[in-house]
Amino acid sequence: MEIDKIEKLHTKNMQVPYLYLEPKMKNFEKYRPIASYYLHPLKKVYKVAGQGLMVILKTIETSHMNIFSTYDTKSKIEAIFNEINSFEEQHNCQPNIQTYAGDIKQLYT
Amino acid sequence: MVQKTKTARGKKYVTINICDPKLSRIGPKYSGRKLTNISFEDIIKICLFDTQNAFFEKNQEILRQILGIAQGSPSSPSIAITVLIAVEHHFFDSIRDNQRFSKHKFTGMRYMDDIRNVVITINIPPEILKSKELIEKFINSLPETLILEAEESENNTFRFLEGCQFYNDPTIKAAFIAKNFNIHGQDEHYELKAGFPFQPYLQTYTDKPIQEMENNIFTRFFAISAYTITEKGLELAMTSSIPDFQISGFPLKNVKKVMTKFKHRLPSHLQNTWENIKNRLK
Repeated sequence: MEIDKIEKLHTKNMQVPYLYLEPKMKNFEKYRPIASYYLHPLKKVYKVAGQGLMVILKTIETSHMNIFSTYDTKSKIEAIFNEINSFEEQHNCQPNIQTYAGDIKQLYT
Repeated sequence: MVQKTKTARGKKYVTINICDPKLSRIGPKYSGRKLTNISFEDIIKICLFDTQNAFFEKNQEILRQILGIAQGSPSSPSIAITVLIAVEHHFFDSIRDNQRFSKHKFTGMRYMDDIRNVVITINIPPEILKSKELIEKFINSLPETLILEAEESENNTFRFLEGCQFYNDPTIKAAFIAKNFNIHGQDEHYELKAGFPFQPYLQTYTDKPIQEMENNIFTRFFAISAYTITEKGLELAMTSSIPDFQISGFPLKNVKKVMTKFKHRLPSHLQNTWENIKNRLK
């Protein structure tokens, strides 16, 4: 693979990403680790690979729950309510609904 | 999973539009200086390389991340989504032909790390128990390193992004609810628990305070429009937002002025309610 054909390498002032912590807005006692890739030689290549992967993900025809844009939320909720209505018609009864709300801790690690 | 993508010409390549990523697509590259072509195989190789070679500098020491996805790398959000989509795909596959859950419909949504699950079933106790089992099964299907932390949810009502979803009230469905507005208590009430919503009008540092204030109001209305589905939801969204405007010292005449300008941006079925709310404001 010729990486520089995909995207230019960053060759000026190259630097290993440095780590720092930033307090979370929701709770100042918690910190968010940040790593700066600003001077990483492969930052543009990684960006293109990430964008390419996202294009593939958007075309995947498989069951998943991912929302790619916050603007898709409303249509997704409408779709769930449509599913509730069709379940009601199919089973001819008022359906029971159970929900769960959660947040994945440390998604990257 | 890559094999399950839609077919197209040059289907093993992605063309990235550098200027506008929304125009990127699967397929061959045509002429254009701002286009980059990358094969599926190269994408996988680069992502693996990135994950296996995540080095950082801290206190003049070089550290290597050995667990998870490279913190801060431009490709990491896409890799994280890929992992979660794969987990969800396997979960849906595992329950598809499972007779135990034949009277259940498992659905939901996830934006990055925020997950909301909805299980629909018939209203009899054994099936309701199975719904809870299904949710547990989903939580357990995540890899050990991905820990789900439950968020506030009551009466099938919960926050998601800037909005709130109401599965027990189809007359609302979903609405924008201001962060300082409590919808879970017995009485809906406003409390400054999430901090000041906007830069207060009289404490602004800009040269054009009125313009800034109206921009803030406009942004709020845009969020209301993006997350609110029904007329009742719109009433609730505005009930929760008006105290935000008041506490920020935004004069009512400016709120009404922006409401008038914003009306045509709302879906047509909400415009009458919007006008009624505006006329009621005192």
